Parts: sequence; structure tokens; C-alpha cells
Amino acid sequence: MRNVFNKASSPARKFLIIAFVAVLFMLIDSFTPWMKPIYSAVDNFVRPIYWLSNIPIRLEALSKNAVVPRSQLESENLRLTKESLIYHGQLQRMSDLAAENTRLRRLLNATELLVDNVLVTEVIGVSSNPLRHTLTVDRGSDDGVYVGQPLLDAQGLMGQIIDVHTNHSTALLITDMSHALPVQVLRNGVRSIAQGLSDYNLLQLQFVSPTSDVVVGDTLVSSGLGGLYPVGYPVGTIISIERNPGDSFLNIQVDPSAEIDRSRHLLLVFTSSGADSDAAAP
Amino acid sequence: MKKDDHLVVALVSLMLAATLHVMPVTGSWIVWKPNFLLLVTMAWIFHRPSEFGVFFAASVGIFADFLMRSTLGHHMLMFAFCGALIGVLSRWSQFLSFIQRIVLVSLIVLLVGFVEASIFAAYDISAALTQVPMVALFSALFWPIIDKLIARSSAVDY
Repeated sequence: MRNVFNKASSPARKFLIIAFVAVLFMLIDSFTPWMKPIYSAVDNFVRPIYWLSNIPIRLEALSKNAVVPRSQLESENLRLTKESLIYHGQLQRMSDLAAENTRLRRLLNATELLVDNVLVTEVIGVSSNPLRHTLTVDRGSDDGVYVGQPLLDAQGLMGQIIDVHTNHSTALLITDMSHALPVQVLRNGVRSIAQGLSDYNLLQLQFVSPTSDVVVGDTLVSSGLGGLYPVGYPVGTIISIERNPGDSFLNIQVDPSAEIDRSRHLLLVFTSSGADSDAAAP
Repeated sequence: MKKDDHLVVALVSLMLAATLHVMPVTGSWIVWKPNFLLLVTMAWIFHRPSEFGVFFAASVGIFADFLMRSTLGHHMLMFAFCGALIGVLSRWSQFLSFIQRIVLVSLIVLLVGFVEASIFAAYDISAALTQVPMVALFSALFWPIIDKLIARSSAVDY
């Protein structure tokens, strides 16, 4: 009887010791930066696991590209040629508009908008922790990636780089609950802050007063305030506006433009301010 | 020597589980995906309770924290809790049938999921709670395969 009790209580006792240590770790990790060097050191060891996990997707892409019928290639080539023509036409119009915009800004003595350089990157890992929306991309400090660098997909803003290693980096997505992004309504320039909700398909606008001119369907773009994200990149579309009696602000939900949980090929934007601050950093 | 060999096999199986766990998936799968690391850890404790216990589970939890870049101690606590539960139940679990074991694992995953979701709820993440039953269901679906593989690996006489 005594033996049974001792054996049964042993895991519970061990658990209590571990629970104490775990809570201690959580407090240290949450309130001090002491764990950061450990994370950086261990990251190089866990990286091969991410590389391995990506093999099936690489193989799938390889098999798709390896065997393609000639007719499909021809039709794709034709489609791309047409698209290229259309985009060139649009680009010419955009160049004209950009030149006009620059002239007007000079007249207003405003700062000149700079054309951003981009670097194509690929997602090699995603966090499966619902509390933390991060992903790992295959570019690092060797490619000039820096902390705070904006990340885009073909549709809109995805997030920013928070951790840089030699050959890979970690990005915090705009849907992460700890992420907030200054935005403005494209239609009229009303400013707000888009806060992540840890839901891949939802953002929330903060501090929009009930008298503001915002409607469902409004497109939101980055406002450039804060100096981190460049101006004018699509962030999302307003899908619902609720006014709760007693609340000082509207409850506005936004559908992100970027395909946060789907995009594999992304763009790292080199903004002049980001590159400068990085260069200035010790 | 025999014990060390089991540890090597356990580590290899954990590496495979970690690879499956971080494998990029799209859509709802990302939140429904079972925690393969937890399932493999539980399977080893089920089959070799004398060799793998709470400290083993806590060590895998620390590894999971580093792998998923979560707050250090979060997975450690979760894994150790599961390890302790199975450790307490280990004397009876050998008498459980295959189906009963699946149900037990699902219940543990469900319990851990709800505890974890309650922590997330403190951060205003209501979505996490709704995914827990699906995670438990998918864990139950994957469990027989993991259980059989670990049972076979742990039974090999090195």
C-alpha cells in the first residue's frame, strides 16, 4: 500500500518542481532580455529541422516544374507576355503620375517619396504557436536583412523582421496580437492603428471615433507614420463596423490584404530609413 | 546500453515529430494540426514509463519552446503536466485497450488544450478555444500510427 502511494505521488512531486522552474523561466523570459542570447545560439541548431520540414514542398515544386507539357509552357508564355505588356502600360502611366507627384511635392516643399528596393524571399517555416504569429524566411544578414525590415507578399503588407541570423530571419506578422501598424484610409486619409488579433484573417482598427468617415469596403494602406513601414502599401479592407453603446471608439474589423497564411514567396523591402538606421547601429 | 539505445531511438523519433510539427501547412490545418512532439513524448512515456518520465517530458517541452520560439517554460509546463498525468496513470494504462488509450490521449490533449486556451483567453484570443476539439480529434486520428510505431521501436531488443 505504501509502495503504491509513493510511486504514484512521485510524478506529481516532480511536476511541482518542474512547474516552479517553468514559471521562473516564463517570468525571466517575459520581463528580461537574458534569454535572447540562448535563443540565438539554439536557433542555429533547430534550423535544420525547419529545412527538413520544407523538403516535401520543395519536392512538390520541383516535380511541378520538372514535367510540364510544351503546350502549357507556350500558353503560359503567351499569358505572361500579355501581362507584361499590360503592366508596362500601367507602369508608364504610373511613372507619369509619380513624376507629377514629385513635382507637386517639390512645390509644396515636401519630402520626396523614395522608390523602395526589394529582395525576393521564401518562407521556410511558420510558428505553430497560435499565441505567436511568426514565420521564418530564407534570407539573413548575408543578404543585408535588418531588424524592423518590412515584409510584403503580392497582395499587401505581411509583417516585419524581428530576428536576423546569417542565412535566415524571423518575421512578426501583422496579425500577431503584439503587432500594431499605423494605417490610413485610402479614400480620405483617416488615420488609425491596425492591431493584430492572433487570427490570420482579421485585424482590428484602434481609436477610430464614431464621427470618423469610415465605411465598410474602405481600403487601408500603411500611413508611414512611425517610420517603420513605407507609405502606401495595402494593409486590408474594412469588413465590419460596429458601434457599441458606451464605447468611445468604433469596433472596426479588417480583412488583411496579404495572404498571411498562404503566401510562400515574399518581398523584403529595403527602405532608406531602415537601411540607414541599421547602418548607424553599432 | 539498452537504455541508451532507447534514448537514441526516442531522440530520432522526436526529431521526426519536430519536423512534422513545423512543416508549413495552409488554411485551417495550421490550427488543427496535432502537437506531434507531445504525442510522441506521451507514446514513449506510455511504453517505457521506467525510462521516460516527467523530466524527459519537460526536456522535450524546453526543446519545443526553442523550436517554436514561444516563451521559455510554456511548453515545458505543458509537456511536464502530460508526463506527470501519464506517469500517475502508467500503472493502469497497460491494462487499457487500444480504443481506451486513444480516448485517454484525446482527453489529455483536450484538457491541455483547454488549459492552454484559457491562458490565451487571458490575452483576448478567443479563437484558440474553438480549435481545441479539432486538435484533439486529429490527435486521436494520428495517435494509432504513432502508438504502433513507438511500441515497435520501444519493444526492439538492442
